[in-house]
Amino acid sequence: MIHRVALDALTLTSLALVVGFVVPLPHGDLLFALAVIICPMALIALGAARRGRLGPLAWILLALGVVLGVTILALLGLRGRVVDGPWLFGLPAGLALQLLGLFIVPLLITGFGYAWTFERSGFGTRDLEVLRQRFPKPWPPEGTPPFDGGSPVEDSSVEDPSAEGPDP
Amino acid sequence: MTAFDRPWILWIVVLHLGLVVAIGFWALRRTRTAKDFFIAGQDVGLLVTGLATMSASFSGFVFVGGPGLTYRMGLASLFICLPVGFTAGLLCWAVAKRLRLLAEVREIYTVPDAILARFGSRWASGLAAVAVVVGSIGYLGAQFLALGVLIESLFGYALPVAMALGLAVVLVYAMAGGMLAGVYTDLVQGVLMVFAAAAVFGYALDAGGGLGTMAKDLVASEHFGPSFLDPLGRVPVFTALGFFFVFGVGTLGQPHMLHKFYMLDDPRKLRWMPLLLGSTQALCILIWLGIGLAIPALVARGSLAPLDNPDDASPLFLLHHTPDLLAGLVFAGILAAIMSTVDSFVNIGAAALVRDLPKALGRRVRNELLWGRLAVLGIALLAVGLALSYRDLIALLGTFAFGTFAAALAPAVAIGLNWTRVPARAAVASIGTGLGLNLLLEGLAKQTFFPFLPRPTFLLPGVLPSALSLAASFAVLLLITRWSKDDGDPLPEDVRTVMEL
Repeated sequence: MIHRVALDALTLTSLALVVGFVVPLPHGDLLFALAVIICPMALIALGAARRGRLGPLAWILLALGVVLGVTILALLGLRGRVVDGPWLFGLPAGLALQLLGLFIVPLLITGFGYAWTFERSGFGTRDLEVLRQRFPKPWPPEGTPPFDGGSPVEDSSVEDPSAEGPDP
Repeated sequence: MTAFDRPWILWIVVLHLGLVVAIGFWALRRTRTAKDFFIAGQDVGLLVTGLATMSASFSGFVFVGGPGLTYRMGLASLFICLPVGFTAGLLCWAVAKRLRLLAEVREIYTVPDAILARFGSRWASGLAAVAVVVGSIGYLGAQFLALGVLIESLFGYALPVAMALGLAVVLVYAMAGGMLAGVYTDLVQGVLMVFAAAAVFGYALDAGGGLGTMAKDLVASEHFGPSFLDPLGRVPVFTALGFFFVFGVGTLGQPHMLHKFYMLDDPRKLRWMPLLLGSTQALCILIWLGIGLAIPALVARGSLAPLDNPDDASPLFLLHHTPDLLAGLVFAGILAAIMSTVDSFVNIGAAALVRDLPKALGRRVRNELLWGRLAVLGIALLAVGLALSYRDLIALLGTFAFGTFAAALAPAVAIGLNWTRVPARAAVASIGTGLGLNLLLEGLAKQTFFPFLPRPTFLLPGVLPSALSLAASFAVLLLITRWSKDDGDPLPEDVRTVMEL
């Protein structure tokens, strides 16, 4: 389910971006901002979902999306208002928000969020054990010196069996 | 003023370069196999991997090019580096697990290796290798340009001589030790870079009178004005957010970062990677922000003449506004950043030339170590040629290179490793589209040799060629996969297991 939503979102945003880069669209800035936020979120969901679910990662993505979205909307709203607009921490609000909302807060959300969801959405402890049990490492051949001189390039079939599949 | 007038600066820089060369020779004695040369023997811990990833990704582009770009376009330039707030997490969630697990079951040293394993297509891996070589030359060009600007400022040598000096030092340890040299020098260099960036930020605040004072001086200045501090003030939204898009999502196609995931000895250590990587990157971009604000503020209040070449901002600030010891350490830190990135890219480019392209052609280089070292030399010389002939800011050359990797590789890697339905033909079309479109659009926009060729005027004002190429590459991969009637090409069992875990 999540995979499907993420792939649909990626398809729509990438198409919208291609069109929006060459054809002027109404509210083009806003649409572009939306696509720029959706794209990384969809990619995270695509890579991290397990059996169609995000689990606690959903909350992290929601938080990240809200922070990025609100910040970019605020930046669009504050455009051209350095002199007459509000200032925060001694800086124009747009600049302060840019640093906080696009950088510091996302860093904390994703840094701690990844550690928190690591077992479920990152590397499960069992993932590696399952893989090593099913596919004991076939390489490098023990005791075989890889650099044995000889001619620099030789005709030979590629050893990787996956390379022998049909090419388009 | 040059470093000859301040001998401490010179001594510290020379000591640092000596240390780097010594590490290169030490690594040479430990480099026995291709696995050692290309992925540091897959025996590197979290701290070293994290710092190596950070110092490979942050370079002359950030430390010299960043403040230069800020001087020209204001704080919109920060959209290039701010995505590091989430890109470490994006990398780890989206691709790190699959790449690292793939390296458990297959002999994978490079990104084209991973593409070959996933798609079973020599076309796909061959095109990816071409993209890696092209992008590497572009990225190296930006590094050599930054290295030249730095050595020129430090020693007063002409740019070509300065670049030749930098090239000689980099080649010694890159050719000698390959990625093993790179990884261990990166540890030293990463620590130095973090320290240098944090310290220089403090001095920048001091020189400018604090953030608030600098901001007020810049707003009041005729030369810069309020738009300098407006994140969307000096460039169209398409440019500012285009940077954010390319440098955010495009991270998934950067071989120098993806490559590091193969090196980690125990993949379970990835848990803390985003925090380590993100926080060290965050400290490093302080130099971009600090010098990017301080130099314009000094120009605004008349303490400094306007710069002829914006890329001189960093060296100028260091030579004139920091004490000897710190200036020496910071110059050494910036040199460290540049050299670790150069080292990563010459090795990644060499791996593409010596391993991936021959493999795609159905051939295999027998003595990879020897030919790897010769390829390092060839790629470095090509990059120096590009740097000498380039006529724009360092950061813009870096953007082109980053965009090339992003557009060519990000969709095939990020979606291909997470969706079993993606067929090889979709990957080939996507890599070809990303690479070809980016080269074509950037080439048409920049070239001056053939005045009769058109400019890419069909793009809306401010649209970055790399942003369009990246979006098009995603669209092509997704549409071809969706239009494919079958469930994708049959996957080998080990690859399918990696994708389903």
